[in-house]
Amino acid sequence: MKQIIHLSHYFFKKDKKQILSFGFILLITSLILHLATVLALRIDPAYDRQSDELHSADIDIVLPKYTDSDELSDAVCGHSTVQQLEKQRAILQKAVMKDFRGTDFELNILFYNWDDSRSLHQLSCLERSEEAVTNPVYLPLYISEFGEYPLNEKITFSIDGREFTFTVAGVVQEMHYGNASAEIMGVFLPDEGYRHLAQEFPGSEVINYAVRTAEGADVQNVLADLRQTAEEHHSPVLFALTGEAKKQSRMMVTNLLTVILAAFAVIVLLVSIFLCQFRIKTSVAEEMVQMGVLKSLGFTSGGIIRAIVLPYTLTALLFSALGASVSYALLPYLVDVLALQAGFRFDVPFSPAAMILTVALLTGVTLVFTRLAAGKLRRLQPIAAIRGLTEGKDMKKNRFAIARTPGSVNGVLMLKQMAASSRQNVLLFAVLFVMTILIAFSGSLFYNVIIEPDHFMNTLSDESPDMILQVSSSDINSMKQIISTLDGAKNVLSYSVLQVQVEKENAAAFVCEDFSKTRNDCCYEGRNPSSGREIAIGSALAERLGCGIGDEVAVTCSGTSRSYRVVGLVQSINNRGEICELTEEGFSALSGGEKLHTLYVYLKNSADADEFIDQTEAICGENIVSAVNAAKKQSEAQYMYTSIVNVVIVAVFTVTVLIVLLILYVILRSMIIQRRQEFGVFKAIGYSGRQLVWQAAGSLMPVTIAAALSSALLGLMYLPAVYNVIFGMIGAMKNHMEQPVGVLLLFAAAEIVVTLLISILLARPIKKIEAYSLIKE
Amino acid sequence: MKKTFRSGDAEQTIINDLDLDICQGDFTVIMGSSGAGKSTLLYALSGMDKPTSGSITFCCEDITSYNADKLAVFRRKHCGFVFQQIYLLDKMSLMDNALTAGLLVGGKKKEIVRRAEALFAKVNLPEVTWRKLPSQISGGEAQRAGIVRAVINRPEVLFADEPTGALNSHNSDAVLNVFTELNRDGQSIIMVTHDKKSALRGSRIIYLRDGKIFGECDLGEYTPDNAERTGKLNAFLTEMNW
Repeated sequence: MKQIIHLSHYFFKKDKKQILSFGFILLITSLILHLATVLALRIDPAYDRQSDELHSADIDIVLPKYTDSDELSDAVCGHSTVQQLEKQRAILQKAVMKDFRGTDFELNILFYNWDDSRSLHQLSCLERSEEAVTNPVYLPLYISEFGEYPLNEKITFSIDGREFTFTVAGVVQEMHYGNASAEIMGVFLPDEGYRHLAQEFPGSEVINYAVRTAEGADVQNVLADLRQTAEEHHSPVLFALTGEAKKQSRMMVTNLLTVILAAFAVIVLLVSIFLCQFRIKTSVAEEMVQMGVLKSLGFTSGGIIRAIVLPYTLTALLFSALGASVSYALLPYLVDVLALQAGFRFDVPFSPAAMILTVALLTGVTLVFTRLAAGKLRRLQPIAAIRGLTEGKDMKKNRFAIARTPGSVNGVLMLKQMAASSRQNVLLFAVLFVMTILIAFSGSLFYNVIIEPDHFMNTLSDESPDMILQVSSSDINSMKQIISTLDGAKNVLSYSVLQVQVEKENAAAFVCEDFSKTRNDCCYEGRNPSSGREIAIGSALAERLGCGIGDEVAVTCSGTSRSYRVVGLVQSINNRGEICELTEEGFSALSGGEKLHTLYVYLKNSADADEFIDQTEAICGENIVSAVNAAKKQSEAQYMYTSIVNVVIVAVFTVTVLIVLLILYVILRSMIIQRRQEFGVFKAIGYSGRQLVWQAAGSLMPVTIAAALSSALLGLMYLPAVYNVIFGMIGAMKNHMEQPVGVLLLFAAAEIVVTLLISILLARPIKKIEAYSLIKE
Repeated sequence: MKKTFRSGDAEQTIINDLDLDICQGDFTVIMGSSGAGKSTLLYALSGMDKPTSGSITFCCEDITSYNADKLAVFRRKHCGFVFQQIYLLDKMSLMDNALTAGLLVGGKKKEIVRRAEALFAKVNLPEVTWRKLPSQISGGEAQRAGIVRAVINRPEVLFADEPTGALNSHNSDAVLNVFTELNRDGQSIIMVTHDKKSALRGSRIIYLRDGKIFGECDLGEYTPDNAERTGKLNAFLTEMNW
């Protein structure tokens, strides 16, 4: 054993720099893998813990206060699985938050009374103003941080054209609403402010039925029962939320990031495996004579293999533990970014399970693959090794004969060198291929989120016009005509979002005069409705009702029911698939000719939405109830995704450059060691240092180009599948992501250039090699 | 010129105030005991190594001040090398070894290939041999291929460092015959050797001791089985205590 440790020490000393570079790649792998593991293992429980601490309800149902009754609450309490019910009063208004991160943001807001006591949906005050403020309001973390309303700042809500300004007196953490994806949020007014608002909007008070169910209850079924109960008591359900739906919307980005990080870690792990295999095989080839001598001295194959494997395994153990530890320095920053989206702050304490999992996985994989790589030694005959009779097949052929190969001698020498190093080529191809997968993915994200953001946003959002107009005029058609003739207008559509019931399931109804003219086609199967008897329904609704295309469903609105034929399935992440699409004609027949008052305005590319709103207000001001710059709102919502994508792109590029740097370092260092004498001969013949540097770097280029281009082009095939998986996880059955050949090629070209530059840089030591010293060797 | 090597605090002088002229067309042989500075002198003269002080002038041009790249250009244009260990590039055929040097200076590929073929014929290596890799031929064949590589650019000076040191007697003779023939065609040669038989091919013998020229002998043109030349060389070497 002692002898094996001595031998192992010798192998480590000989390959010290290359084993350490392998260690650095494992450090990166471990760092990423550990981040993914910690997120996967810790955040979900952190969410649940926070939810438990604040006694969050499992189901929330919002009903108009005037329809509430003791009979209803008794009926709800009487449900077999309902353990606790708490009624919380609030004022429900569709409000525009002014200057929400620089724009106006419209949302359904529940104004709760801060002074009401709560046992469910408790609030944890994160910050509270120490000074007395006028018109105080307590904001949830998400609105305060993402909307940029810090403590003591003013926040203005525009409700029905009237503005109400408050001062932020505190920031609370709650697990009730808290994220814009839920389409509804709560803010908290002290009693005086609450009463004032209630007086301003009589009849707008609602009751939130916060319900806790028994352990193991099917929340969806309970919700359906409670809806039924409310209906039986003539109380329309304005909003209904389950704990699971809230969690899904708040944790969407976190889950996505965890998947991306895990995939990233697997790719980098593959690279590390390729690297250690290459290094060991090269080392065995370089030391063939010594291996023969060792065998002839009586070392067993197993002993030599153990001596080779030991430094790699110990390095894997040390560096994976180090990488996992370093990840704790990055976690707070990552958690801050995620907390902004998830709307709750959480700590990520040290996770022994994640640490053990990461270190054990990386060390185990290293052990297995290094043993496999060194396995060749078992077949090695000592005498053949000592006599140097074990040359590979690379040495048997004169590839790219200079006399017959067109091109300059330097070019042909590059090709010769490339052809003589199959092991190196395999490593380089494999590494660059997998790295280009990452680069292509980030290139595609860059294109779909930053260059063509509509692709990404249309996948996540519903219809996205440039401007949304609420008009008071009964003659909406004449308004439409006036607006469509204004400078900059491209198209104007009557498009409203209303609440209906489809087979007694509440759903948002998207009512449009012509779905073929919309910008974001949400239909992923079948088609959009085009006649008065047709309907398209959301995925969740279809699943719950157990119906599909061709089936008939009954839609109820304001007490009237009508039957429609399902012609398509549509998606809506915002509404968790609880939607339907109806034509204006179809809705009109249902609502008894009720006029719609919302226009979606689409502008030409060059038009500015703010200017257009001014222009519209100047011409039809008296008929406009509200005008929202939806393009600006969307671009603000986009900001969060853009910043995350920018982080991903920078991270992917940094990791790619680092890994390519380390791989090339190993390859070129092996090359310089193996070809040291050859370089000396070239120099003696008259080749300059610069020529040899280019020759060495250039010999890597054909493989680099082949790997980068083939992976980038293959991206056209595999990226749609990747996006389908990723978006499928958050319920988007159809995504609008495109794979632009140009951008993928551009990113691949950038990788090729980076590889070339790094190769030239790393091959520079060749310049310092003196011909004379080599000849002397 | 002077050449010293430093190892830690210790400094060792290998070439010590040496002053030497080499004439065009000469077959100069450098002899001396081990450590006398023969190879050091050879590689300094060829621009592969730099003297510590002094200068080396080639056709009125001081090459001592050249940087590494300029020295590389100097070597490719004016020098050819034959090494004791041959140092053919092992992943290339003999022809490619020759072309690697031949195409470096420029010129049409076809012409250079023809020149290489002619040189292989001259050193008695048939096509079937020059298509092979170095690992597939004998040491003598490899050294003759090394000579082709060294002279393909028609260098002014051919430097040879113990060219027969690793060869058997038969192969040594073949290689020396090539050298003699090249010299007869006007090729200047500077050769380092310990071997009296090899030295006999030279026209001028320089004997080094402790980094200085200890003696010099003019043998005149080589002719085979010339007892007078052999006697003269023997006497010179005896005088040098060789």
